[in-house]
Amino acid sequence: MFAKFLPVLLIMLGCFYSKNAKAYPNFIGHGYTSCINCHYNPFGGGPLTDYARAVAATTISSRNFYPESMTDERLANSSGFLFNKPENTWLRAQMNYRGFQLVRNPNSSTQEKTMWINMQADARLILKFGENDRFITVANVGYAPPEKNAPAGTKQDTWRSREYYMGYKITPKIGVYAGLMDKIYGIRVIEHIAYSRVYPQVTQNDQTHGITGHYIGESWEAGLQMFSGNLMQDADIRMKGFAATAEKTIFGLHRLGGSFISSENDYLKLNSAALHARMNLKEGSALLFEVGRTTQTVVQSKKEKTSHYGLLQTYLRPARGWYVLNNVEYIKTNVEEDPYSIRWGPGVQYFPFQRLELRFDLYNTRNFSKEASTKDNWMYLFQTHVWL
Amino acid sequence: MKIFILLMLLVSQSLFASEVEELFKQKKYQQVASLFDNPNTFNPLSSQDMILVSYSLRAMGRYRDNTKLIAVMIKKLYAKEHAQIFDKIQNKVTLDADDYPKPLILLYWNIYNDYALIIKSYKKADAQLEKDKANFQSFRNILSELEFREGRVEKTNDQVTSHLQYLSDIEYKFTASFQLQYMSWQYSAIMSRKSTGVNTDLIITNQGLCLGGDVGYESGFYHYALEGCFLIGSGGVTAYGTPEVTYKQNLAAYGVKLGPSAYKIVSSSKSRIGISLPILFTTQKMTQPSDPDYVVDQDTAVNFVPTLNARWQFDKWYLKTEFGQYFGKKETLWALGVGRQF
Repeated sequence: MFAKFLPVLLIMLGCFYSKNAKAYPNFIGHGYTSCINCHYNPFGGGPLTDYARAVAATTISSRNFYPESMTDERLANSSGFLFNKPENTWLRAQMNYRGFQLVRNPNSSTQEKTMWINMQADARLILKFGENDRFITVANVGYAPPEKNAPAGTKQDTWRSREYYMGYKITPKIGVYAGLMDKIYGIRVIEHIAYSRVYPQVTQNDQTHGITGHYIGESWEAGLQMFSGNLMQDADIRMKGFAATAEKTIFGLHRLGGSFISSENDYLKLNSAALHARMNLKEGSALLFEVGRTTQTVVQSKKEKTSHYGLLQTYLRPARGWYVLNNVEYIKTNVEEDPYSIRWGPGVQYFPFQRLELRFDLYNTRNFSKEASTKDNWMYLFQTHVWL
Repeated sequence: MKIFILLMLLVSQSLFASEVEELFKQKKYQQVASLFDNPNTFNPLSSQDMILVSYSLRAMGRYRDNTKLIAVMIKKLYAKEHAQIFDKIQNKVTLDADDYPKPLILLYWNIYNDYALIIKSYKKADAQLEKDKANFQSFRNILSELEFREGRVEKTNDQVTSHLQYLSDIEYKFTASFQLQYMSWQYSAIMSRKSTGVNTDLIITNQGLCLGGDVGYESGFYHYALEGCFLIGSGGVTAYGTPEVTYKQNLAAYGVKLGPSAYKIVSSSKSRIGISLPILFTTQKMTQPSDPDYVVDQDTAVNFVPTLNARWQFDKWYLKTEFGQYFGKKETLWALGVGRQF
């Protein structure tokens, strides 16, 4: 399987030598320790700030398709909505599309499944006022693909808002945000199928209504969130609770932190805790590391199940616009049982020019069990991400 | 040119144009510069003519000769002031540029730039480079203490530093490290039933530790090495769906992984990406089923496993990943390791 894609990877890598967004957690490799540098949401995700869009144009994206005469300054000036430089300070509009070709069990004559998934097609509006955007309002509406595995007859809206909130910075260091937002927990990696996002229930459709406090100091950044579940859902399935996260900058480069989340609805109680680290290895190279423990308790039966997960994401930046990554994940769904799985996959991320991200990920999942020896599961995806 | 005119005005002791000046005006730099080559023509020169020779040497690209000439001029014309400046810097006494002749400071500026050009002309590091670096830093220090053209001094220093880094980067050095990897690899076999001819694929999913290291040569841009490690681990194999026989074993495995690797270094922290072409030799003996109707046919013990490698450096320590597929087969190998360079 891997051999089939090795030439593709090598050709893509070879392109690094032919010449001389989105803000992701691995951009700590460019020196951005805090999400608030690039996002209106201080814990990351959602709309990008003007600064982030300029960084995407001048640092993240390659220059492969630009003439020499196109300076980085001109690129930065065209990084606004629809290639314009913002004409005012208080209103921003953004559009974002993400879709991918997913291939499961490639090379299997009977089990190969190919599908195109429109994962995200959002329109965003940001209102911001005051010095350093002291008051912000963020609203988002977008297409949400219906769940293919949902029970028959389930009503599924194909349009939804994944976030709308208002924020107020009481001081430059302290901010309060209220509305529909992502839960604050762990490293917000882009892979929504990551075990570190699925098991603590902090993945792409797990937003919640609540109130979030954010503190950023010289070396510490922390948040506390009280939430009442997604009010668009039926009351009995809303996960209510609280989450807390804190990170400390060490050596002026890296971040070490921990997160905790506790939530429950009428059927399930969920507690998760994680330790995480993001390491800046210069010029775009970075390591992301998270280990966590999740305990699910069925309310009615009091039956409890504890899972352990691990995430190691590694990034290298061979040339501007290019990132080579390795995604290593571990999951033991029940600590009292023997089986566990490791998902391992190399990938290549390419930003040919600002507003476009192309990404290839290969996932090789291996199951370890004393009772069964099974063949690996394979999956790959080609992802396209466009932001306007 | 402004410096030249200023130097000329400040040092000039004669209102009459010399023969050297005439040649210089006619841009016969080679002829003027050649005066430096012969003591008989150089020693009688006035300080004004020396400046003309100095600029001619620069025009001819003879920067090293020009440093020698400027050193002579400093010694001949400003020995006392230069010694004083040197002493004050050594004793960490603050300097005031107004206390010293402007021509002397301009000579420092010129010799500093000459050393910068000399260093930037090096294609590879050698013993002479160390001497030139020391002289360059010495004059940079003097100019900085005199607070003379600080921005330009630092800009030149940045260019020189960058070139010195390049010279260091292109130099290949022997490197060696030891490493310990957690590794998972697969091994396949076929269980055949003689009476029916039905085959069942068996796969052993192994995991273990691989202890070894690498030796090779590394520059600031590339790293070529021979990597190897001794492997110890185990894996389980099960076969269901053959109603008469359930084949289940847990087998110890030993082996060796050895092969060349090549990396491109992509960050100043020495993070690197590359490929490795190892041979994997493992010994893992599967027992034959007790039912004589079944026979297990193991795959070859030697496999060629090209891998995609990445390595993140934390000073001497590093974290490494490997991911590869057996050549011409479906089985894969991956490894996560830590290592330390000697």
